[in-house]
Amino acid sequence: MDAEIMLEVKNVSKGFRLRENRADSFKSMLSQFFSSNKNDVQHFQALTNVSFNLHKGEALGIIGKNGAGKSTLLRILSGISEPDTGEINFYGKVVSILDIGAGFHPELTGRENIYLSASLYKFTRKKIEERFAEIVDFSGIGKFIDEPVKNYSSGMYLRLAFSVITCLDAEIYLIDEVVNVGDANFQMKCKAKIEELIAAGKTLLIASHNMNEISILCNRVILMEYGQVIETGGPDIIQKYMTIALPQFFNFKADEFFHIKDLSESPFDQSRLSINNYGIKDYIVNAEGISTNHPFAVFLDIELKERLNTELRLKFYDATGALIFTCTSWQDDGVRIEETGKYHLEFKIPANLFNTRFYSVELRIVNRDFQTLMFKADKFISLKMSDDNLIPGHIREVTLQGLIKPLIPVVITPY
Amino acid sequence: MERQIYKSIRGGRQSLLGYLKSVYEARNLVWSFAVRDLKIQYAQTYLGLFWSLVQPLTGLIIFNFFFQRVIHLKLQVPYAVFAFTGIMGWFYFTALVGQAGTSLMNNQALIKKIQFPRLVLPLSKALVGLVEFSISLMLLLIMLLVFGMGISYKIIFLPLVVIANVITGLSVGIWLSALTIRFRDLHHLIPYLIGFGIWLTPVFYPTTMVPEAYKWIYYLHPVANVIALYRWIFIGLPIDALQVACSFGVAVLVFISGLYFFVRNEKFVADYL
Repeated sequence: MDAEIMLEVKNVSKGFRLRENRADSFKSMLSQFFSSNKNDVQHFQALTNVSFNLHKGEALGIIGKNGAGKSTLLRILSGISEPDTGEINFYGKVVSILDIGAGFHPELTGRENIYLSASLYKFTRKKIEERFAEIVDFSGIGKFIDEPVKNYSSGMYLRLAFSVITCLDAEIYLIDEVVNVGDANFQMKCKAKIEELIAAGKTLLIASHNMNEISILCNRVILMEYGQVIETGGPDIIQKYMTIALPQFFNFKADEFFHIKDLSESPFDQSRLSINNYGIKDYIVNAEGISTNHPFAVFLDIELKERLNTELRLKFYDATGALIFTCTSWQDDGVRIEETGKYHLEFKIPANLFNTRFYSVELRIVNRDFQTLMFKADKFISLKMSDDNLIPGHIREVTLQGLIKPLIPVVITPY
Repeated sequence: MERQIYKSIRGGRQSLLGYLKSVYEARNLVWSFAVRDLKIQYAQTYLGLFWSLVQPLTGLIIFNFFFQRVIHLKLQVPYAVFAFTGIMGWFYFTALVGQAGTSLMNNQALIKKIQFPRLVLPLSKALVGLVEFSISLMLLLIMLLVFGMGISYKIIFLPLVVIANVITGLSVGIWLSALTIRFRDLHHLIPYLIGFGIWLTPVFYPTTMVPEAYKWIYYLHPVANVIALYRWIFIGLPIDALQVACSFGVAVLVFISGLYFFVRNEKFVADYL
């Protein structure tokens, strides 16, 4: 990378004394003072020797589980909290956006809040006056600018707060999760603004849980765990993060590519209906997971002990909890699960539907007559899907972004 | 080629002077916070700033009734003027102690999200208090005219006394603001200290009523001497120069040590909140 360095982080470490043992009242201070055991103060190392460089025009994403140290790092970079050791150098004006609307006060008008908030971000009055019209324009607040912001809708409030930040130009932006507030429309606007900043050659550092966002926005990613930088690289290390962080989340054991939940842990009234057997079948695995290039099936053996108009639904979620699609036993062919007896169901999952990702399946059993939920099991089945084409050496070794990856035929003809 | 470092962060101690420089650079923030606080305090009230007179006036009426009708205190000067000069100084002091002392606690959300020299918060309270003080001062001037007492040339010393008043209040306020972060108990103690302190301070009684054996207290009591100076300026009561010098020495000591303590602890503020 030849671009000039905008931010140098060298060996930054930070520890905290744990809150429970902190002398936060005279009583505990006195008891600690007189206590012979001085070691009862517990220490928590939030960051250990974090080092990295940020180059001009880069958008660097910081990912990691909760408690990995992302927020602590951002707070230190923002100067809010101080590192125990280490050095940080900025080679340009920096703005840190840890919260949208920090410094806003509900009693003040939009205009007053713009001035207060912007002066908190160390912009001079002159500079604010220059950009004022632009800020108001971007926020779309219009004539409400002289109303107290407590009378704003939450959308207006967020729009105004966000425009203050983005209209003030800096060279380096530190952003923490902020793009996840507000409604979908506002989030789109935020993302568009961030993309605009990237296009304008600004330098960004974004910490987020949202892998999709990071993989879309960032061209370099730092993976943190237990306060340390585990890996630095392109967006492809997000997949690596998934394999570190998600197996536990999905209850995977080592070397497992799927996990079937034990439903006896979630008891329900079996006098009318029981689930006797369930799982996946006909699947083919490759080196990384269940092959997305082959069809497989989710099966269930259920028994109706009395007449019951029953519908089974499977809801497919991605790792971030976004619902991708639902499939149901209530089909147009008119085959129903209603009379007493045993039923074997197979949900046939077509080939080339899933992407190289983690998915979880939720099972719902619904009484059609009363539209009541009889049974629900989340993460009923967890799957680690893998595209054969991504296995090294294959002809089409390309990552396609998206929650799913249906194979869309492309017809290419010369004309 | 060495490039210019725009900003640098390192662990370790910061010098008091370097810190004060950063406060000076953020001086327009002192103003912004003061304006914010005033606007919030008096937003949507019909009487606005005149509410700041309600508290001193109520005090004045109660003291006046008690010392004139109940106790029949005899002074060479009108009691209302005497008491009000005391009230003025005392209320500015307590406003600073109370507001500056809680300023960090009351701005937690801000402190956790935006970096700025935290000292700006207690400092801005000096301006807020000054506005309220000025309104009381206007009332005092009106009272002086009503009682036909006139205004002495000594009023040129008023700015200095006001500065002494501010330093006295801020010295306690800055200590408390830094301490309350670590010892939340103090938060509950502040109103109690203020309520108790007025009895130790010659606000509504003259020092002549105090037995000689206890008068040494005033050598260590800056607020008592700030009030004595207001009375010297407006009423012409004598002052004890040694007492003034001694007590202001105490105030400056507390102020500078407070600044030092504040700066030492500032970097932990966000961690402790």
